[in-house]
Parts: sequence; C-alpha cells; structure tokens
Amino acid sequence: MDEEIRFFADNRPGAPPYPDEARARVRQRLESRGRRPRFLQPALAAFALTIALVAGVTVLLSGGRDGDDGVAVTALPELDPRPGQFVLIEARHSYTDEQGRATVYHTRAWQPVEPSHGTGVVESTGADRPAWTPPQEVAFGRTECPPILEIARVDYQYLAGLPVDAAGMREWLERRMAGNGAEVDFWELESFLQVTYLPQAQRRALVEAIRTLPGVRVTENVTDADGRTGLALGFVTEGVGVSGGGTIRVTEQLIFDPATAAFLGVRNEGQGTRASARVALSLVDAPAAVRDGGCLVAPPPIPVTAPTEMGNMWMTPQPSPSTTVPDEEQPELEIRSTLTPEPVESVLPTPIPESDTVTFTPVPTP
Amino acid sequence: MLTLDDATLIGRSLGEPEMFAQLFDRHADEIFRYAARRLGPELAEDVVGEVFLTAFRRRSGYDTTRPDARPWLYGIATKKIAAHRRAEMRRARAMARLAAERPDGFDERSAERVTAEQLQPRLARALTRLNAGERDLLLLLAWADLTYEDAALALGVPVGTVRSRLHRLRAKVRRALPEEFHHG
Repeated sequence: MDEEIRFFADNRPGAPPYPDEARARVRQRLESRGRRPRFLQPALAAFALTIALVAGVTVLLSGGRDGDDGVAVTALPELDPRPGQFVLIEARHSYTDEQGRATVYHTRAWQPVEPSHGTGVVESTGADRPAWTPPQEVAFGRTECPPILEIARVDYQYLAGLPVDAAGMREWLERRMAGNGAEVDFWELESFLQVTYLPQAQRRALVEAIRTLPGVRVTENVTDADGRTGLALGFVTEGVGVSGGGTIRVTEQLIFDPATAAFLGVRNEGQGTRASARVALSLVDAPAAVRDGGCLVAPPPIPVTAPTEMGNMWMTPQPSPSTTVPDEEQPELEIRSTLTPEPVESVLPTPIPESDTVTFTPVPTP
Repeated sequence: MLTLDDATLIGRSLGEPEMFAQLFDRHADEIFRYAARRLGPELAEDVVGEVFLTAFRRRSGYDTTRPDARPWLYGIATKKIAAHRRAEMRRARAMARLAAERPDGFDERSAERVTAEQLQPRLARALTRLNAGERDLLLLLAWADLTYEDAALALGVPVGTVRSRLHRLRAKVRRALPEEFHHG
C-alpha cells in the first residue's frame, strides 16, 4: 500500500457501533419490501420454473352476489376480530407475461389481531417458488418476537386505531409508505393492502386518502379478476431500469368495492399483466404451518398438506374447527367449481429491471 | 448452517426476498462504520438504510460472478454519501479548524487530546484539499480496505482510471502534509 494511503488507514477515526434500533428499523423495512415481490414473483424470478397450474377454486361465502354477467362472485364479509385471533386473507393471483404465458398462484396471509403476535405471515402456493428454494425457518411456536416498530405493524388493533378521516389517513400513508423520492410508494401500498384487513371506517378513509395522492387516476366500474365491479385507483410508474431494460412503464390499479371500500384486488399492466383477487376473509385462532421468514407468536401450527401436494390444499378449504365468524351470519363454505387439472408449463418470466429513479406520473386519458 | 457467498444470497433473494436480510446482517456494521467515519453517526444511520434499500431494489442487476458484494455495496454507499457532500465537508473543515486553533506544541496524535471518533485535524485538512472523486477513492482504499480492483468496481471506473486518480491524489496528500512526507 502506498504510504499516503497507509497514513490515512493507520489514522482512521473510530466509529461507534451501529445502533440496534437503527438496525431493526432497516431490517424490518427490508423485510416489508421482501413481502412485496411475493405478489410480483412470476415477473421477478429470473429462473426457468416448472409450474403446475392449479385450477382456481372459487370459495363462496353465502350471500355471494351475482356479477353483471350473472356469474356468481365473492362477497367479502365484515369481520369483528377479537384479541388472540388471526385474520386469514386468501387471494388468487395471476401473471401473464408478454408472450401470453400465464401462471397462477394463491396466497394466504395471517394478520395478527394483537401486536404481540408478530408481524404476520404470508404463504404462497403455486408458481412463485423456484424448485431449489431451501426450506425457510419455520416461524411458528415462538414465545416472543423482536419488538415491532410502528413502520412494520400490520396487527388489527393498530390498524383499527388509524385515522378515520382522509387527511389524517393521508398523513399516515405518507409517513408509512414513503418511497424513494416519491410521496407514497405505490407498490408498498399494495403490499400492505394485500396482507391486511381494516375496519370499514379506516378503509373508507384510506380510499379517500389515496384519491387525493398526486397522479392518481380514478376509474369507476372496472371489473376485478373475480368478476366484481369496483372502483380503481391507478398510478403509472415510470422508471429507467438498471439492467438495461430501457424505460419501464407500469400501470397499476388498486380495486375497491365502491359500497364497502373493501380491497378487492389489483390489476397491473406493463411487462405483462398481473391481477389479483381477494377471495376469502375469515377469522381463525391459529395459522396453518406455513414457511415464512417472519416472526409469529402463535399456538402450534395446524398441519397442512405437504408442499408436493399443495394443489390439494386449495381444493380443500380448511374450515378449521377454530374458525369463528362474527354475528349470526355464519357463512357456509361452498365449493363452486370442480378441479380441472391443467397442463404443466415451463415458463421463463422476464425480470422487471428495478429502478432507482421511479417517478409517479398521472395516467393519461386513453 | 451452510454459509452462502454474497452472490448466491443475492441470486436467491430474487426468489426469496427475505434472504436479502442476510446480506444486510453480514455487511451492515461495516457499511455503517465507513459512513460514520465520513459523515458522523447520525447521517451514517440514514446512509446504511438507503444503501441496503437501494441494493435490494437493484439486486436483479447484480453481477453474480462476483462472490463478494462489498465493492457493490461500497459503490452504492459512495453515491449515498455524495448526497451528503456538504455535510461531509462541513465536518472535515470543522475538524481541520481544530488544528488552526491550536498553536504549536499541540500534538494532535496524542490520544487524550483527540477523541477517538474524530478525524485528526491535519488529515481532515488534507481531505478538504481533494476533490470528491479523489476523496472517494482514497477513503475506499484507506478506510474500507478495498483493493484497487475493488475500488474501481465500486466507483464504476476502469482500474487504469483508479491508478491515474491515485497518482494525483497522492501528490496532493504529500503537499497537504509536508511534515509527514518530507522525503517524498
């Protein structure tokens, strides 16, 4: 080493240790972002995947409404979560790449009611896990999780305390979803919505708050992936990809029930089409045994079908004995469609180059 | 548990985003120390968060033929630190002033007079004589212990550029610290 360099090296100032609180904040931030790509997975995984397409099974709650075309669609119930319970959120996702190849997968998210039960877990089954994925540490049965910072909280008790007015909710959104230079990171917002259930008052405030964000375009009477009619709040995200993909332009719509402000799903166009539909909401006393990198304090997990047979898991909705639904209206689970096995396809999805300079611009009127 | 190299971790984090947290666990302390030496601990906290969140977003562009992610992370850190250049220079000038305010007889190497976390005034003064690119290179070599090749990777320039930049900055350091390098 040159002596001038060595002189600086020998006289380098000391540095204090990295504070634990700052470390926890960044780690939780990374983990919360880590959740996002689960819903974008087929677009991101740059690997050849062998994908078993699992036929969608529509689980209907009694009281399901008919869509405009007369096809039965799913109505999402209002829940009354109690301490100790978990909200189980089930969703169906599809991704069709630019060559028209489709993949389908399902997610189940368990959102704790109490903050002491951790940050919740998400399970994906279907297309999004590369075959070589090593088993993750099973996050269940712990007696304690690291303290949760506000920025990572998704427990129902916390969300039920959020503002019920649009201005207050917008302030919260800006604090919680602050992106890189952008006022609200729309992907982070979706990631949050996908794994949470909010009381109706907060949902209404949230919809109103999103409407006020710069660049948001409101479209009425859109149809979601489940055939429901909804109100779409859309963004166009433009950015320059770092791995040479040129300008990326993605239109993303969050779809809400106009009557109840329930989050129904998303529709995402650009580098293929991605759609999701929330198909069931229920309350359970314990999550199933899923693999997730998160931490969850929970009773011993309920065994589920082995991953190799995970298709079956979706054919057999698990009305666990602990399922509790408020009020007298116990929705009856009813399988509407029969399973139609579909062929196994090999898919090589196109990765979306991620951008360091994403700006939100208004969606142009078509 | 099997220890994976950085490239494997980053590759897997495309399918398993939570694996990226392991990269953070592995390198956060080092990136924090580097940033803290340059900017002080408060700004360094922000920088570490920015570095790893940016790295996470860019992970699909990582060259997985490089098992060690440190040059890549230091490259991102260098850009994040550059955003705080004015703060860095204020800090360096404030420390350099300590030297000016102390008349002769002040031995700045004596441990009891210079707190451990402060840059020695004379070094601070020398740093203020370098331009931003020279400062980045010098400190990647001296404080991050990168090789010339790794520093070139971090800065996104050819090794030849590093060598010529190094030549200039060594001359400037010698001029700024004549008492240390009087023979050169």
